[in-house]
Amino acid sequence: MVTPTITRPADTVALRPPASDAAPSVRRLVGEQVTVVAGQALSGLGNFAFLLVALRWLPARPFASLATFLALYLLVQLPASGLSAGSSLLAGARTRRTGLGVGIVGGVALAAAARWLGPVLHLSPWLLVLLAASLPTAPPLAICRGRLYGQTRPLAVTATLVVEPLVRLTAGLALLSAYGVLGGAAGVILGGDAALVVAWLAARRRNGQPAMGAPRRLPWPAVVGFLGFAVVQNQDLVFANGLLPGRAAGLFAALSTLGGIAAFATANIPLVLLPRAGSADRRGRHATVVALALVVGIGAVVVSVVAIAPVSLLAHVVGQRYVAVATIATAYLTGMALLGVARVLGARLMATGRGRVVTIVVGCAVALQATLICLAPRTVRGVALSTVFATGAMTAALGTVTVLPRPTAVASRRPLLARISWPAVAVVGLLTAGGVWLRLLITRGLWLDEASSVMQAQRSFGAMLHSLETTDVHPPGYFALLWGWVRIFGSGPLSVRMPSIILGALLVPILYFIGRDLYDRRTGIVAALFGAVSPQLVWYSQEARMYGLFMLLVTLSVWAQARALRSGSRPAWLAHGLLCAAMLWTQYFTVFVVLTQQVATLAVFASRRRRREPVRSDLGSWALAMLVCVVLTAPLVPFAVHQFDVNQSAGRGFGSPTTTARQVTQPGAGLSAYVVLANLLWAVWGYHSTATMTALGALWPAGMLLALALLGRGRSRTTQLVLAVAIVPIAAMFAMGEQKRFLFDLRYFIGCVPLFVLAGARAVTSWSRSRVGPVLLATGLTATLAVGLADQQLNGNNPRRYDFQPALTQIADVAGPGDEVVLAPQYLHPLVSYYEPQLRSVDQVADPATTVRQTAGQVHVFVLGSFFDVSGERQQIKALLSRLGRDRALVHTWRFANVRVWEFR
Amino acid sequence: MIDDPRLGPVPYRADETPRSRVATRALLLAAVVVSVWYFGWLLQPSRIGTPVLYGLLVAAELFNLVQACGFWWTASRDTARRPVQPLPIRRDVDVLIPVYGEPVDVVEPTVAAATRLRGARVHVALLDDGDDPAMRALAYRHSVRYIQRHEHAGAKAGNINHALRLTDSPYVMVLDCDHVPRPEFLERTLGEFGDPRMAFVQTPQYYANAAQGGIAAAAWAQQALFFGPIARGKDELGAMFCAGTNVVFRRRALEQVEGFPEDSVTEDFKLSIRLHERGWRTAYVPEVLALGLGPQDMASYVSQQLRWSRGCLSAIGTVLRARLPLRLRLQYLLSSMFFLTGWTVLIYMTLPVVRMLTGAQPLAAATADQFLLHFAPYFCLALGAVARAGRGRYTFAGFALAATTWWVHVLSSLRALTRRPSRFVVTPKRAGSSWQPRAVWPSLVAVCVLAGSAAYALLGSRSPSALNNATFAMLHVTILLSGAAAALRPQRRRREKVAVEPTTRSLAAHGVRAS
Repeated sequence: MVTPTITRPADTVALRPPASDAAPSVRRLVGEQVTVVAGQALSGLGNFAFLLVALRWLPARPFASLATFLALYLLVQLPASGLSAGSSLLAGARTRRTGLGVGIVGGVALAAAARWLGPVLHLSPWLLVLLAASLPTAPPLAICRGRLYGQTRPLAVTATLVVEPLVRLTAGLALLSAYGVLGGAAGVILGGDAALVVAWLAARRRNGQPAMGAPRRLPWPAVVGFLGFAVVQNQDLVFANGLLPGRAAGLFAALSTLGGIAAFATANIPLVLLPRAGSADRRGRHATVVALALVVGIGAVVVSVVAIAPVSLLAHVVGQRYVAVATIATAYLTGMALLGVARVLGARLMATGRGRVVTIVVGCAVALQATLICLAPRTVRGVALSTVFATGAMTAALGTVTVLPRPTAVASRRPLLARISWPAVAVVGLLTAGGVWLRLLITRGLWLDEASSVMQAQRSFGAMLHSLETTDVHPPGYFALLWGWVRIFGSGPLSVRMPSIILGALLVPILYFIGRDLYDRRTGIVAALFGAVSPQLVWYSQEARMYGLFMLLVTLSVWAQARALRSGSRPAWLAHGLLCAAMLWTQYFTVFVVLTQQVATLAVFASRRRRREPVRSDLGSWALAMLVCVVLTAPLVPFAVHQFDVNQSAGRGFGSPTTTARQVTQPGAGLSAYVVLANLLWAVWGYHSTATMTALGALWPAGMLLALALLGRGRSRTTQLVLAVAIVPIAAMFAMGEQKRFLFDLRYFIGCVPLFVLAGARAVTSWSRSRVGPVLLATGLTATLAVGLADQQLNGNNPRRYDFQPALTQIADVAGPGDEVVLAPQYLHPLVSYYEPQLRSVDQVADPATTVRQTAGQVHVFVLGSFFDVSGERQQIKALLSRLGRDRALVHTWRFANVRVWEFR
Repeated sequence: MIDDPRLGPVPYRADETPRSRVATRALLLAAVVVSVWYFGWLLQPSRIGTPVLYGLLVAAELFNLVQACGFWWTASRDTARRPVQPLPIRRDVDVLIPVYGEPVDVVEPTVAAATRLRGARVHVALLDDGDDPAMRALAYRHSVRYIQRHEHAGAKAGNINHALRLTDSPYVMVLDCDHVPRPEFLERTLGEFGDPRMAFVQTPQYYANAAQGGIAAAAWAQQALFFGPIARGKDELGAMFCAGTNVVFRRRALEQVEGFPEDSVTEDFKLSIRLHERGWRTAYVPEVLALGLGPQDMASYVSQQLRWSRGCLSAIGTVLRARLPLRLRLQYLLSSMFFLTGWTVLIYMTLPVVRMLTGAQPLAAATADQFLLHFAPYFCLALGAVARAGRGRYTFAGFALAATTWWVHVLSSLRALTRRPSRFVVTPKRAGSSWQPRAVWPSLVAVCVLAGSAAYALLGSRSPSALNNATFAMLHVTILLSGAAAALRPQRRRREKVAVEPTTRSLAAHGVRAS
């Protein structure tokens, strides 16, 4: 029998299954896991019952103390739980002795510091002394349990798990009733000690080696990794107890108790997996799959049960006092369920010699969670969402690492360096620098949507999410990014635009890389050139909205998909799945992009199948990528549904002030061929005045020439994919625009523009075999783009340019302390708050007389008007001005790009 | 000097049908739908602007629609042909190679390759209508029969008919003297004669010099569309007609129609009608089995197009009178009427000029937006259908070359209408001068008129209407100049022209021993 051997770097575990160890069947693997899960479930139920009783017996604050003690108890057991994981791969008496010694020293130190730590943690020092007393027994318990895992003795493990709550429910409850919180804490410790006794006795009965060959040194990555998992699971409770007011701390303790169900239920699955997962053959894969299936299944059941009726469930389980956490319970339990998945993935990675990566990822997750909790609003929701975000990010990262192939011993660095064309690097560097420079040449102030973004980002995270859910029409992805950015860099005009500028400028080198990768170097350079000067890419890289991110994500997603289809690379598929999810979190309309991509993928598979080429492997990778996308997008669904419902019920629909090609070409008309034409012209040559657009629109026969010139041009699958993803979403938006006119707007398919840039670059470089032809063509096109860019950025007649900043500055310069500004339309508030918050403003209302009454006492009244292209707004402004003109004298009128100010006295 | 491209590999497969037949048919169906959408809009009485101009526009559009529908119908029948079993017994085949003053170096590879044909007992005959001693020497060198006649009546058809009377094999293969057959030619085609009603088997007429670019490449782009989806569709419809070369006949069929008709410059087209009238069947094997030379300069191309258009347009009457099933009659009509396309180009060029100079326009009560909405889908899907059915082989260069020779169609139709006698002109096989403005002078005149009108209109007004019509004019100018460019290059000796003499190595590589 061939024994699989995995050789790893010296500091990681080397697992070698003994020759006699026959491959366990899936049934046996499932049996082992189910036994331990059942034990864990019983243990969890017992502990949960203990806590529930405590919850009912104790008032909120003492219960919070007990729950915090329990969390600290678990925290101080953390190194032990790491040791447990480590020792399932190791059995050494020396380690046991070392563990005992460390436990005693730690216990003494904690007891000594209890007096000072108590007030900080809002805990009685005696509780900390009790905690210190438990420390010496923690390492031996973990090591003994670990040995049992290593020896694959699920029944013995189960016994140690079950005895713990039994003691707590008996002796512990007795002590709780007699001595209150201190008695309960003592009961908790007694339960642990009882488990130690059982584990020690069981481990003594068989002095054999663990199922896997024992390494000589303790596998520290496993120890540290599992320590990190435990920290992620519990530190939020400690933070909440320290940061939140008493009532909120109690609420969070209840939430954490509930979340513990999902986390504890799966806590031992990775430990059972560890000794098995190291096999390089199907045994390791089977064990991992079984573990993952169990974790996902248990997590899904727990989350589903809570999600169905959170309020009534909480009322029955934790009591009516705590039903306030029902709104966040499902999300928090999802986070805890994800933690279970992360632990299994981590165990697999540790067992296959990638423990270091796990420690890094988990360490980052710990830091991220702590940072988010500190930054988030001091509410139960803020702390809970921080944990959910951290566990989600950690699971996604570990999942990515799991499916990534292990790097080979020596990376092929030399060929890569040899392949680099330094002149090309220099050219792309220059183009990128030029792109950054153009994007920093901002010629306009923030307009309404940007000001709204900033206003959202200046709220607390929870409030922002709530506001987005109830007043906005976009998903929270970009806003979360801007929220973090504003916290660090402030909310100045350049600062808030900087994320878009960075993301937009990144497109330039990315277009080079994608062009080079999918076609050739010349295409890459021309694509980067076009990307640097493309008017739309520059425009939306300067806007504090999600469009810069949207463009980048679509481009990257298509690149990943093209690579995946070409090479079948699983990381590429996974990247595609992640990018699809990121797109959906950024812009809802990317659903058309995602759907187009998936239809294209299926078409490619169908085509390969017709040619009798193998597709099974790619199909599996694609399915995995889609699963990742669906899982990551699932939390967005309730948000989006609620947002949609709120907007619909408020009568807002998805309406927003918009200027589209309709006004430029055929005022008053519905969707038409000219609207499509105008949007396409905008997409390529940027926003221009009505006169320019009318003239450009008249040149449409040139499109016939282009179509004819495309006859006989070669079209690779890659080009077909790029064009499909660029065109189909636009067609879908056009179809939607037939129902909702304003939806057919360039902004909503701006992500497709970089793909047009790429396709254009490919067309230019492949048009002629000569060297001169493509150069001339590229130069000519770049010149037209540059002219378009200059006109777009500098021409005041650009219909998308709104000069609110100079208008408000003008008002602020003239207005006195008691003067009033009437905002017409009424949704201009964010701009006033951003630029001139000291100005007093009132909203224009439908009845002009009401507005006039509101301003009756002021000396000067200023009307800030905009969005004249929207007929309803235009008429209302007209009526208001007319009404104001009856009582007051019009003193002055200032005109700015798409903004006007009227001063009445 | 480079090797003769006719002796190289075949870089083209004529049997490549579109990957998904369902998708192609769906596209064709969509094209029909958008055509109805467009014409339903165009033919409303309220659209009539200036009646004459409107009539011209509608006539041109309807003509193009008929041609497009014919193409969609034919292309929808495009299917992969199932190979047939070879004939069980080796047959005798007369291989007839008519020549009329062509250079020896062009003919010699054809004769040499004909003697190496497999799959039958081959009797090669060089039919020299030019009374050239060099041809006699050539025939002697390759041990093939040399047939000469004293009276040169009937051009190529007369030459072949003369040879038919002197030969007696049951099958007759006709090769133009520049078409070098592949050794497997007869193995691939003779099996079709298992059908006793099979009159002839046609194969593609491939231009081996297309890879060198220029006129030959553009001309091949047009040929590729015909010998691709159109010929395959015609074959499925049983309507394939003879292309005059790379074809094998059953002698009995030829005898029944008394050989090639000598009263037409497109004897092959008329012969096919006669055979179909008598119930004979025809087949097309979509495999390049002979490599020839396409026209290498504009004068050659114009000469070829003049002959084809004159012949096919003259045959319209014959088609209308012929006792053919409707399916075949329509197919022949579509093919012969294609050569009226030049008139539509003339109309399309005229309309913006008239608009810019006089303000008269064909359409009324229609905004440009509406026109674009109805026209753009029709235009795009029509082009898409050509691109898909032709698998991208029909190029802009081919389109522009056809558009540039619009006047050839006009001239031929006028000649056919006035029944002016035509003359069979052999397409030159050598590249002539690259500076041949006389071959495209009508297009150059059109370019001047269009550009002048556009300049006049723009000087007078910058209105969207003026811009739109000027753009239309410049669209035509671009297409015409692209097509005519090959005739307007300064004189320069091309190094890549076909080898004057095939090298010994290239012939040997092809299994030919020069003796």
